[in-house]
This record gives sequence, structure tokens and C-alpha cells, in this order.
Amino acid sequence: MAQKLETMSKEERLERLRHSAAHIMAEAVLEMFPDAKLGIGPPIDTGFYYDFTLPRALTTDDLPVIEEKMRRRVESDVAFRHEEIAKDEARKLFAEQPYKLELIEDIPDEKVSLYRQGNFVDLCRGPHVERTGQVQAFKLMSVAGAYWRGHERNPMLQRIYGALFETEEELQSHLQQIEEAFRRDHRRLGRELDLFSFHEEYGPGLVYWRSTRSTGPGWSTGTLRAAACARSSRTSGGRSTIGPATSWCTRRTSAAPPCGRPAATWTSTRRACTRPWTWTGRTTTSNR
Amino acid sequence: MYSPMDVDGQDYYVKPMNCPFHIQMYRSALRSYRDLPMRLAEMGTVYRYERSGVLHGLMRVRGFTQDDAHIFCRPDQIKEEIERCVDFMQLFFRAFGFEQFHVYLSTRSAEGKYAGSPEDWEMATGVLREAIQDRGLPHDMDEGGAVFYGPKIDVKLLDTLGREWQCTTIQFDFNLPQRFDISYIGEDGREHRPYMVHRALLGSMERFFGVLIEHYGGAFPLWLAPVQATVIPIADRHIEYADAVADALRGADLRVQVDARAERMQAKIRDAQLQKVPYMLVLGDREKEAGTAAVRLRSGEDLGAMKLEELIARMQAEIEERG
Repeated sequence: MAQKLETMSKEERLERLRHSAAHIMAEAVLEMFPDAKLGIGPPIDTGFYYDFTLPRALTTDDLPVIEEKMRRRVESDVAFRHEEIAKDEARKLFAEQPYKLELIEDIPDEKVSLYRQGNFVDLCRGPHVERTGQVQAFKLMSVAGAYWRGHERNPMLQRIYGALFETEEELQSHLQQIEEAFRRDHRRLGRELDLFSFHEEYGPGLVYWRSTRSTGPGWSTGTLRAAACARSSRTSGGRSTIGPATSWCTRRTSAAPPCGRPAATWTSTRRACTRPWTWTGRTTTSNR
Repeated sequence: MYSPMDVDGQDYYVKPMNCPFHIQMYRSALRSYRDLPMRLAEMGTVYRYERSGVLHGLMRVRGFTQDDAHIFCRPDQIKEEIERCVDFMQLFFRAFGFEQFHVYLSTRSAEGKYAGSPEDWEMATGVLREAIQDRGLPHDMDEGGAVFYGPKIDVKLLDTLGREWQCTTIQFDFNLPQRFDISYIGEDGREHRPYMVHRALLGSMERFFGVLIEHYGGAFPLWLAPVQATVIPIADRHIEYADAVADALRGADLRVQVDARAERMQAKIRDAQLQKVPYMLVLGDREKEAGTAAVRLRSGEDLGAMKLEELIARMQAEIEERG
């Protein structure tokens, strides 16, 4: 007998609710696209997702439609039922679902676990809530591409993300937080306020600080850097230096390059340094 | 670190860190106890390889500038040097408007190989802990989280999604002084090994500005705003006066732009608001006549007509107010 939702920890409740919402979404998507091929649909930190191969690309306009179909399933309040069947039987049941067939082959046991709600059945270990009616405070958020099993050599599936919380208030506050984060996202503001840019064609991860329009003294981190530097010297009594941007290194040939970095010993002037500086991948100021 | 380039048969590397250069400067002459503390600071641009998948706006990039410093000092000076670093860090954070940050003190674990003696570590950890405790900075311990060369203080700022990004770091280094065999001549006429401290306050300038932009949502306080005032002439016949007003403000070291586009005044005001410019100066016949400007703030507040001297004094006072 399924454990009552109220007796569980909040964490466990949320996990079940989110996982169940993913199933309800898959059912809704199947109704919309009967030929949809289903990937996987787990709970995540703030909600859930499910991956699909569909006859066409989804747009954000599709989300309210899918959400409405989900709400109808929630209203009908059907039970989630757990079953275990033999692998052979499962292969027949999922004959039209290539991703599920692949998953079945990876299951070591002879029996496979299923969850059903209404006419929808999914290969799944659970756990779930008891009834679809328990899934309440959710919203479909976005569509993204995701490789099947996260491998770039596999087909690209369409992933629908949903947010789900226990109460409507918690959901609303989450949505507000996302909106606020979007409003403050430095990448967007950097573009809109003409503060900085990236030019992938000249290499990713390299910043171009922009001097905003013709503003007299101008502004860029250059200006601020100079200000910070001057202040730094005044306040700390330190001496400002500027070192060269490149220098000699003696390469160490014995060690294999760790995580893509060439192993090397780093000496600023080779003759002066009797004990070579070794690049270990550790640096004093983390960029992480 | 990036692959080397061949220059006259030598491998040259693009700089991934500033430390070795500062050590070379220290080593370039015989140092006496009277030369210490020696504090070398640099806005040092470094390049490090990061997988393209982990790059994230300004927060994680492949080329960044550190406000890096290395302090070489005598044992009797170390406490004061660390305290100065922590004070300086607080000064910076206050100036930039950060109230909330997390301080972590990383110490050694019982096992593991470390440079320096256990006594060195105990002293260094004690100095770091005292410096943050004396200043009432709540901190978390990261036991065993220190790098092999010394204990450290890390300070992390939060972005809008509550993610922590490391900014300040203050680290002891018991490894490099020994490896590069640096020393000073003590009062006793003998050679001694100085302490070495790495310190970056903002950390990566790129990352710090990323956090700063999100912190203010782009609406920077006046002293930081890229454009501090937009001058908005109502009609073409006011452009000349607008340029004069802009020049007057520039003369007072203010960053000003003139919006001389053939747009309606309302559209110009809206654009300046979208650009989060703190001051908007609207100029028409009346203002030109009286030698004033109709002043509006980014917040929507209308200050009415102000004399230029009055306006400049107000803006300068606002700039001076920063931490």
C-alpha cells in the first residue's frame, strides 16, 4: 500500500509530485502528438522535465496547450498504479517506443517496473503520488534541446521543463525570482546597456569592454581599473607593477597533460630560476 | 594554460598567473629587513583554459584581469599585513554596495601533503581567523579545504540566483618562497625566509563586474554609472545650449552625453530611463533663457529647474558620498 503523502518529508513529497507531473505531461504530449517518442522524465530541483522526439519543433505557444491538457488530467483525479511485468511483455508494450526499448535492455532484472495513470503507461521505478489530483501548483516553463542520454552523438530530443511546488504561493515566488533574475542577468544588461560584448568568431570567453558611446571621460572597466588601482596604491601603500603577458616556459615531457592543459613548467626567466615553477593546474585566485 | 608559441625556438606561454613575475621582482635585489613589507600589486591580465561548456558570461571567462598583489614580509609584520588586507577588502565591498558576502576559512586536513611546517600553518590559520573574528565577520570553516601551500580566506558574493562566486582571496604561501629560494637579510645579519601572501580583493575584474551588474540590475549609483547624465534638447535650436551644458558638466569630470537625435522629448526621456542614466537634463527655450536645466532623475523624480552650478554641486556631493 502506498505511503500517505502527508507522512513524508517535504523533500520526498516534492520529488513524488514532480515525478508524477512529468508523467502527466508525457500523457498530454502523447495526446497532442500520438507518434511522439518518449525519452525520460525525472524530477529536478525546481520541477521536472520530459524529453520527446516530436514531428515538429515546439514553441512556447504550445506550452499553455499542453498545460491545459495536463490540468484536465489533474481534474479527472485518476490513480497512479504500480505494476511489474516480464521483460518480453514490456518489449511488446513499448514496441513503438525505441528509447524505452533501449532502457528495457539496460535493466538487469527479469521483471520491469511500470506506472500507469488512466490510459498512459510508462517504464518507471517510481515512486509517485497516489492520484493525479494531488499535482496542483505547476507551470510549464520552457523548451530546450537535449541529446538522448546526454551524448552528442545521439539524437537531439525536445525537452519541456516545468516548475512545481507544493503550494501556489511557493510557485509564484519561484516565478517572481526567475523574472527578477532575468531582469538582472548581467549578460542581457551588458548587451542592452552597451557595457561589454563577446565575439565568438574571435574566440569564446574573451571579453570586449566597451566604452559607452561618446561620454567625455568614458567608462569601461579600464577607467574603473585605473581608479581601483590608484585607490589601491593610496590605501595599501603597495607598489603597482606590470608584468609581461608572455614568458618562457620549459615543457615537462614526462607527465601526461591533465584535463586538457599541457603539463609544463613555468619559469619567468629561465636562467634566473634554478628551481622551475610547475604549473599544477592550481592557481592562487580561482576562476571557478 | 594555453599551448605554447614558438619564439626563436623557445616555448613562450601566455601568462596564466602573476606570481612568478612578482617573485622575480623581489629576487632582483638583495633585500634587507628594512625593505619589508614589500607589497607588489598588479592589475594582471591572465589567460586560462576553460572548457567552452562551462563559460558563463563574465562569471567564467578565458581571459581575465586580477587585482593581484603579493606581500613579502617578516614574521613580526604578518598580523598587520593580513589585517590590512581584510580592512581593504571591507572598504572595497562597502564602496561597491555589497552588504552580504560569505567568508570561508580553509585549513589543512590531518593527512595530506603540505608545504611548510605544522607550526607555520597553526600561526597562519590563527592570524587569518583572528583578523576575521576581530572584525565580527561571520565565517564558515572549510576544514581540509586549503591548497597544499597554505591556509586562506575566500570571500564569495552571491548573484541574483543565489549562486556563490568567489571574489576575494587572501592566501598564505609556504611553497613559493622556498622553491624560488627568496630571502632577506635580518637585523642579525643572517638570511631569513620572508612570509609570502597572495591577495586579490575583487578577484577577477570580469567576474566582479558581472556580479556588480546583477547586484544593481544595471542601475548603477551615480559614481559608477557609465553615463551620469543625458542632456536632452527639446528642439534643434536647443542643441547649441545642450552642448554648452554638457561641456560645463564634463569640465567638472562628469560623464555626459547629448541626445541630439530628431526624436520627441518623451522618447528621449524614455530611452535614457531604459539606459538607466541617473540624471536627465531637459533643455528648452525657458532653460536656455535662464541658463538652467530641467532635471529629472532615473527614479522618475522631477527636481524642476536648476542652475548649472547647483546641479554640478549636487552631483559631485552624491559622488563623494560613496563608501
